[in-house]
Amino acid sequence: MKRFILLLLFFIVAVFYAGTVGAAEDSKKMLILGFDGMDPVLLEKYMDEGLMPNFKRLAEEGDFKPLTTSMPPQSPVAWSNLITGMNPGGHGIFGFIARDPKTYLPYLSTSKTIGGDSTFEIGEWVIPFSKTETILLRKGKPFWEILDGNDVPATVIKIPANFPPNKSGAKTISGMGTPDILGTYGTFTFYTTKKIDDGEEVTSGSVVNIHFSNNSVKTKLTGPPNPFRVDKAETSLELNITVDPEHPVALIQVDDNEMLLKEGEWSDWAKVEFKFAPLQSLTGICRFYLMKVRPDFELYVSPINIDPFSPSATISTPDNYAAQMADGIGYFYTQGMPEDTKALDQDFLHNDDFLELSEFIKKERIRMLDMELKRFDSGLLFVYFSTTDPVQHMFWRNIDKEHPAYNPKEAAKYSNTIQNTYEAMDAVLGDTVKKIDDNTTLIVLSDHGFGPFRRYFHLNTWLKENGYINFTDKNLKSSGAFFENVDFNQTRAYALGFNGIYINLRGREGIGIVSDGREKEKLLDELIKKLEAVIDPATGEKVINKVYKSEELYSGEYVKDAPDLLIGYNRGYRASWETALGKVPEGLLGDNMKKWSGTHLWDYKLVPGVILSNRKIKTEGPALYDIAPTILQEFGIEKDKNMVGGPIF
Amino acid sequence: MNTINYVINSIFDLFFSPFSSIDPIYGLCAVSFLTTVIMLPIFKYTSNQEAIRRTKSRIMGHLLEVRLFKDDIRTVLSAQKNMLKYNMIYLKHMMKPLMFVMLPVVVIIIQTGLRYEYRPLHPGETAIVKVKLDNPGNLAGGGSGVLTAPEGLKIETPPLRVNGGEEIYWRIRAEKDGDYDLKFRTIDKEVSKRVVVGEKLTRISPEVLKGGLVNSFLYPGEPSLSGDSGMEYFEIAYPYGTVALFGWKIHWLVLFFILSLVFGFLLLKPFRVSV
Repeated sequence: MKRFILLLLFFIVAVFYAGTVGAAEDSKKMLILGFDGMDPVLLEKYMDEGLMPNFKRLAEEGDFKPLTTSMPPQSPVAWSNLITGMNPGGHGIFGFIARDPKTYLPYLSTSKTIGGDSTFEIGEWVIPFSKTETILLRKGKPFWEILDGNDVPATVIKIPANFPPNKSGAKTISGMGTPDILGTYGTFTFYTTKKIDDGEEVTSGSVVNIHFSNNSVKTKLTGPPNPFRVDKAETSLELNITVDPEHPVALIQVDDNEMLLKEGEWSDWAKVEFKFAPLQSLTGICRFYLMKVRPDFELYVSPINIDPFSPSATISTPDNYAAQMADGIGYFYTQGMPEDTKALDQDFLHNDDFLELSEFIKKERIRMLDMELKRFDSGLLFVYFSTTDPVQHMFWRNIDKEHPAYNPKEAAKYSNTIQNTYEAMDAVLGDTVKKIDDNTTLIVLSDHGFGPFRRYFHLNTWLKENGYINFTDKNLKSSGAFFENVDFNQTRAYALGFNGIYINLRGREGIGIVSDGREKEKLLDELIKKLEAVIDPATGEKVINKVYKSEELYSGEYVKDAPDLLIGYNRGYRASWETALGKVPEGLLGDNMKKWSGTHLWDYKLVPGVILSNRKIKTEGPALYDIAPTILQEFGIEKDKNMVGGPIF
Repeated sequence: MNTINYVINSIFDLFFSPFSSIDPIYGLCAVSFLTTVIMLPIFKYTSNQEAIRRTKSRIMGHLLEVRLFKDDIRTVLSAQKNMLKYNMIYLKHMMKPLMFVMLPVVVIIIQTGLRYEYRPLHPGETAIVKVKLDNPGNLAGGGSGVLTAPEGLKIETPPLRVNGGEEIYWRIRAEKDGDYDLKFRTIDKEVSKRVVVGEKLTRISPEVLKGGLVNSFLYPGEPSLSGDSGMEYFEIAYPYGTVALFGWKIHWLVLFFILSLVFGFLLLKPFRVSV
C-alpha cells in the first residue's frame, strides 16, 4: 500500500512538473521584425545622431551586429537563407532570375506554374481537365514548418520567397514573389490624354490613351487572359471616367465601384470581378490614383492584386488566413512588392505619390503586426516590412552627391526621405516593444545593407569584347534580350541575372562547347583574373571587388544549378538591367541616370544587413542562415541536419 | 403617405431599439419571429382551413396510390394527374390568405431592409452624395448648387457635375457618431437628407425621391421630396450591411426567409394552422 501511495505521489509530482515545464515552454515567445535592406552604416549613423532612440536602446540593452548576407545579396536568396538555415546550394534559389540551361532562357526563380495541359475544345471554348498549379521552387524545410511539427505556434507575415506558401499548420501570408492577378510581379495601368510615344517601351505597366467627349470617357480595365477561351482573349471591365468641367475632380466607375477623387488622391480598394464563363470568374482588388485632371488627364491604376477573400492562388496557410487578416484590417496589398518602383522609375508616379503609397503600405503592415500582437501569447511571430528597401532603391540619388543622377534641387526636398523611413521604422519598433513582455525574445534584422548604384556594367558586353561571347551576325554590334544574336556554338560563357556567369558547358547547356573538368576550371580561373582586374576608366576604381566560384560559397544538393561564377561588384557598381535579361548592348560602362539609384547587388561582404536583439549575441559574425537554427533552439528544437547555420545566442 | 410612413417607421424604430447595440442577428431573429406570429393568425382566419386540410389529404392519398400501385402504369398516371389537379386546388386555396398576408409582409420586409440592407457610416469612412435635378439652370453656388454639412460631417471634394449639372456628386467623410442633416440648396429651395454615422443598428435611408404613392411606399425611410423641390433624388452611397450566422455572411433577406420558415413550422401546431 505504501508503495502504491509513493508511486501515486511520484506520478502526481511528475505530471505537475511536466505541466509547469510545458506551460513555461508554451508561453515562450519570439518576435522577429524584418526590415528589408536596413543598412548597418546608416542605422549606426542615425542612432548616433539620436534619430533612432528605440533602436539605440535595443542595441545598448541587448546587442547589435552586422548580419552576413547571402551571395548574391538579392532578397529572394537572402530570405531563403534565413527561412531554411541553408545556403543557396541547399535551398536552390540563386537570384531573382534563374535560367533553363537547355534554352538559355530566364525565368523567375522562386515559383512556376505547371499543369493545365489536358483540355477539351468546343468551338471557341476550352474545358480544362487538369488543374493548373503554382509551385514554390525554394527547397528545404522552412523554420515555421519545423516549429509547427513540434506544436509551437508560428505566424509568419509577408516573408519573401514564400509563394505559394509552404504547406504547414503555421499561419503564413506570402510576400515578395506573390503575383498580381495577371500572373506578373505587378502590372500597373496608366490612363492619359497625353500622347505617349508608341516607340517608348513601358515595363511592368501599360499605357492607355483616352479621349474625353463631353467630359466623360468609356474605356477598359484589362484583366487576365480568359483560360476558357481558345484564343486566351484578355478579359476586361468597362471603366467610365467623368470629370467636372471646371473642378479638379473625377468620378471613376468600374464594376460595382463608384469613386470620386480629387486631383492627387488615392482611392480605397475597389473589388473587380472578371468573368470567364458562366459561373467562372476571378476577383481582384486595385486602387486608383488621380494624378492630374488638366491640362492632361492622368490616372494610375495599381496592379490588380489577388483578392484575399477569394484568392485565385494560394497566398496563405491556412487557406482562410488571408481572409481572416482582411476581416481584421481590411483589404491589403497581396502582391509581393507593392511599392511600384517601376511606375516611379518611368515617371508614371512622382516622388510624392510613391512616398504616399509607401506610407500606406507601411501602415498596412503595422495593422497586421498589431492584429497579431493582440493575440500573441506563445510561439513565434514574424512580420516583414518592405518599405526600407524600395525607398533606398529610389531615393539614394538624393543623399549621394557623387551620384550621376544627383539633382541639388530635388535633393533639397528629398535628402531626408531615407532617414525619415528609418525613423518611421524606429517608431514601429518603439510601439512594438511596448506591447511585448519580458518573456519575449525580440530580434530585429535585415536581409542586406544598401549603397549607391552610380555606374552600370554590361557584363555580357565585356564577355563579348574579351572573346567569350560571339555573335551570329558579326555585322551587328549588339544583341537584344535573351541572347537574340548570340551564337552559342562559339560562346564559352554568358551572364544572366544580376550576379551570375554561366559557362556554356557541354552536356549541361543546350549547345555547350566547354568541357567539364580542366577546360572549365581553366576558363573560370581566367575569367576571375580578368574580371577582378577590370577598372572603370571614368573613375579609376575597380568595378568588381571579388569573383567567387560557386563551389567555394555553396554546399548542398542544388549547387549544380548555381551560376558557375558569382560576381561581387564593388561599391557604386552593378550589373546593368540589360545584363540581367541576356542583352549585349554597345559600351561597357555608363552612368546610372535612373531613379533606381541605390543597390545591394555587390560583393556580399560589402553589404551586410543588421541584427539587433534584446539578448546578447554570442556568435562573432552572425549570418542569415543562423536565424532558423536560432529560432529552433529558442523553442528547444534540434536544428535540421541540412542546416548549415547555428544558433547565435 | 408621409404621415403613414412616419407612424410605421416609429413603430419599427421602437421594435428594433432593444437590438441596436447588439449583434444584428438578434434583431433579425426577432423580426422573423414577429412576422411569423402576425402571419399565422392572418393566414388562419383568412383561409379555408378545412378545404386546405382536405386538399392536402387528397394529395397525400394519391401519393400513397403511386407507391402502392407502382407496377400498374395506368393507376400511377391517373394518380399523378390527380395530384397535379389537387395541387392546383391547393394553390387556389392559398391565393386568398396570401393576398391578406402580402401587404404586412412587404411592409415588414421594407422596414427590415431599411435597417439591414445598409449600415451607418463609421467615423473616418467616406461616401458619395449624389443629387439629380429637374432643371440644372436653377442652381445656386455658381452653377453647382450648394451642399452644406453640419459639424461631424465633412465635404471633401468640390462638386462634380454631369450632363450640364443635371447630376451632381460630392464625397463626404464621417467624422464622428451622430444623426446629421445634409442640406442642398438651389436658388429658391433647400432640401435635407439624413446621414447616420455610428456603429448601431438603425434606420438607414440611402435615397429620398420625389413623391408619388409608389415611391413613398417603397422608400419610406425619409419623407419624399416635394413636387416643387426641383430634384429627382438625393442619395448617399452607404456601405452594405452584413449579417453573419456562425461566422457565415448571409444576405439578410435570405436569413429572414429561412428564420421565418423555421419559426413558422415550429408555431404551426401551437397556432393550430394548416398550411
